[in-house]
Amino acid sequence: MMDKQLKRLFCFTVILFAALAAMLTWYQFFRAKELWAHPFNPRRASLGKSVLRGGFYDRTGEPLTVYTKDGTGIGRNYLLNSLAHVIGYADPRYGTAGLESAFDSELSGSITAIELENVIAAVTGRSKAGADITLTIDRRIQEVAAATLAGRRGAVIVMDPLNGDILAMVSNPGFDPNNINKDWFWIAKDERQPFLNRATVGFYPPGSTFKPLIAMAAADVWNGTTIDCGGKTTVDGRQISEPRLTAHGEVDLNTAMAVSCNVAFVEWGLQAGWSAIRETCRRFGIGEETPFILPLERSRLPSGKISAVELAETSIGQGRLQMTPLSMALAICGIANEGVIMAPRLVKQVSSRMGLYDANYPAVVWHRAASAGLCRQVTAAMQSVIEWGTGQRAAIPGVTVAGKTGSAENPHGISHAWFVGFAPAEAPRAVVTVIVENAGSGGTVAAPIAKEVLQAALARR
Amino acid sequence: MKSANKMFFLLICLFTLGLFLAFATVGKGKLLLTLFFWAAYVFLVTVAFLIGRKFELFPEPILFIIPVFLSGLGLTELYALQMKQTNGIYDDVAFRQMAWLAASMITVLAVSALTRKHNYEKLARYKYIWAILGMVLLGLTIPFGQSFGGARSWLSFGSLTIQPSEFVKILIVLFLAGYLSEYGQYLKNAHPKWWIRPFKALWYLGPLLFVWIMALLLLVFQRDLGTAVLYFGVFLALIYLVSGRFSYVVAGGLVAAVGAVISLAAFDHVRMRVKIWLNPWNDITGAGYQIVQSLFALGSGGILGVGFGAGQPEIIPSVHNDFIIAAIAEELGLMGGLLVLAMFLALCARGLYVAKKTGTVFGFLLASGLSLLLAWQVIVIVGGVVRLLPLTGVNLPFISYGGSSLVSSYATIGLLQGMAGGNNYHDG
Repeated sequence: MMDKQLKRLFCFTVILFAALAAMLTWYQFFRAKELWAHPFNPRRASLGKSVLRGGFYDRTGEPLTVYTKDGTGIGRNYLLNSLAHVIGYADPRYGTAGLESAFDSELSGSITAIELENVIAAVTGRSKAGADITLTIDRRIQEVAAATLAGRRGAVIVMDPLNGDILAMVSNPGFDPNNINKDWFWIAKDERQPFLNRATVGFYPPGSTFKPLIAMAAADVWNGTTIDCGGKTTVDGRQISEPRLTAHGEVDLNTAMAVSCNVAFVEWGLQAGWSAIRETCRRFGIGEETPFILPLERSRLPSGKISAVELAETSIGQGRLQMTPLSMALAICGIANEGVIMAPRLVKQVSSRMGLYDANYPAVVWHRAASAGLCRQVTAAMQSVIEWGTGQRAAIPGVTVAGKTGSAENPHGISHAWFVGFAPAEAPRAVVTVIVENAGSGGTVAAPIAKEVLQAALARR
Repeated sequence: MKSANKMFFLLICLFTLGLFLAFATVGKGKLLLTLFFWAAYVFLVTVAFLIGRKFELFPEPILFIIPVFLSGLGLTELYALQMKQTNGIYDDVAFRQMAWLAASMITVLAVSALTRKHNYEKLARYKYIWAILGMVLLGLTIPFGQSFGGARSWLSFGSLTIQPSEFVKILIVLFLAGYLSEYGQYLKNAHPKWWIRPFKALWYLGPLLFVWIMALLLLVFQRDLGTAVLYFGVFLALIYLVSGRFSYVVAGGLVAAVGAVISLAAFDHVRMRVKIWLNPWNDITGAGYQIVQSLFALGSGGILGVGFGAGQPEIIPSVHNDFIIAAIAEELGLMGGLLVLAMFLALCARGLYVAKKTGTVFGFLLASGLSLLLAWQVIVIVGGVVRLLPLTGVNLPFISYGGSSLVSSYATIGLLQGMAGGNNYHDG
């Protein structure tokens, strides 16, 4: 009697059930992998409750995590809060971050070779464990870098230019990875953004620390010539001046670099042209895709049509140019290593206890940026910066240091203090990059930090 | 008759063997308890089935087998949760649910017997009694209600809490079916012009609208939106069935749209739900936590699932009632999830088949209403979990933890069985 209506209602029901089935299939088949691997999925972090999560060690084998026994079982604590952005955390509720996320399968032992090992371990009565990770970080340098940057906003990166090893990486403000469960909410709400790894994803105008790269781009222009600096210059009606309008007089590259002469670099930048500067940036990997194990941002070059004013601003590291400290560190590594930039390396080795799983991460060349001769010329100019120029506070007795200071103007307050440099200048063993947000001049704020960090880095075995 | 018995025993053997294996893996190291728990389930459903068959209380065996199958799945999942010992939340959910299953078996037998003995047609006579009883039950939750998880829909008697809206669902369908079987004929040709028809029909629908609006208001007051939507859907379905006019559905849809807009404007919690529905990923650790964790459970289950007790569905808040399907989908995978959906669809189809065979308008409306209500409740909650619809917390019939839900679901089955055993029934 009312069969037609009933049939329609049933069809309606069937269609909705089909939609349910489709959605279920969507999540359980098409997006299953993505959902399983999502950093907020606590299943990953707690995967190995029965498996002891692997530990972290520095380049010399010093522990960076320690196992503690408490009432409920064995816990694992981080020893250095300053490595919170590098190592990250693994929390049942908030998921994983940093290397804990990147190497989650290895650390939790969910790789066939490690699983096999754990079967053997279970049979022989030992506890199951994930793989341990050896970093390129040097614990002592890391501690010094964290101590010198303490109480300031900014980042410090120390690298070995010969192999791209990251010896230290600090981002302030940081957080306590051991208390992530309790503090997460407050950290996430903090306006100073403690979760942000300023070293890899922080954007800053490079200011005068960009001048070595302009020198690289404008080699044909400054070679054998001088500029007469009258304290200011005008480009298309826009005046660019020296601090306090100091006239530097006749300057060559060495002098211009040492006193950080804006007039000279603006002139050289304008003469070299945007295409030469952009090409140099590309060769030094600035704005290029960078192979790295942690999340990372590409530096931002001005795009579209570049006016003369903008070219002049870019020549002194201002304008639309935005760089990450890591991108800056890699470029300086290129100058220090005679034009060869090694890919940044944070992890040396990941190996399981019995060695069935053993992955080594060799040093690889990333970019060939410039000729050795040109690099040596720019290095000489950067030595002048430390010997008698703006970077004298980074000088280390008995060691030749090359460097460049920067005081980057920005819309957030007083200038960001930059220092980039390396030592010993003739055979570099450590490249240091320091940025302190809204702290004033690079020569007075960043250079002393760089000095202490460099000293610690040079003292390493 | 004999073949149905054989079918049941074959099913019971295979399925409970599977259940036993499931329990055994879940209750590692508690073999005796596991064995006892499994035996309790087998005992309850077998005894109920034997009694039902003996006294011809289950003329539609499939309408008993599917529910106990689903309850078995639910019990296993609850047992898995209980075994995890997570902060005492799920300490005794499986045991309590087993007790409720016992009550449900008695209910299904008793309701079927009563419906059959006293011709169910008489139920239509007391339609206003059902309506008043329903409103009183819902009304009691206003002064005496307790809220769990946002909805203020529980009545508490000592350690026993019941959710009246689960039972009121049946009363509402009884009332609607009773009323419409009497006055529904006027709806068909209330007015020749289809856009005027619904307004003209209001005159016939007076008492019905009054009851129904009261029920909706009470539910809105309780913040039990899912149940309100279900009542509304069944109301429209029955009017459509009795009148054969789609214009009433259109009018109802418009009213629903207006209601949705008003509640979006008026209630913060409604706005919140819609926001979470549209993008739970904006606030993974806050408002979107529950739905996101449930999506993680679905994704982590994959196609075949991780096995009973091997997943971590306990991370999802209220996984034992609103989100039980996510737990099943994690541990039994997509296959398990689809199996559950298929079972419900088959149940609904069989219920509608009973409706067709009853031979009276009242029986037709009552059986269709109850069957559609079951199926649509599945759509509301599973749809909420898989983000087809905004999430509104209702139970998954037969599977979710909850005594009122289980007993009322089996009461529905009892009614359908009793109707299938009625005098006018056309089937052998």
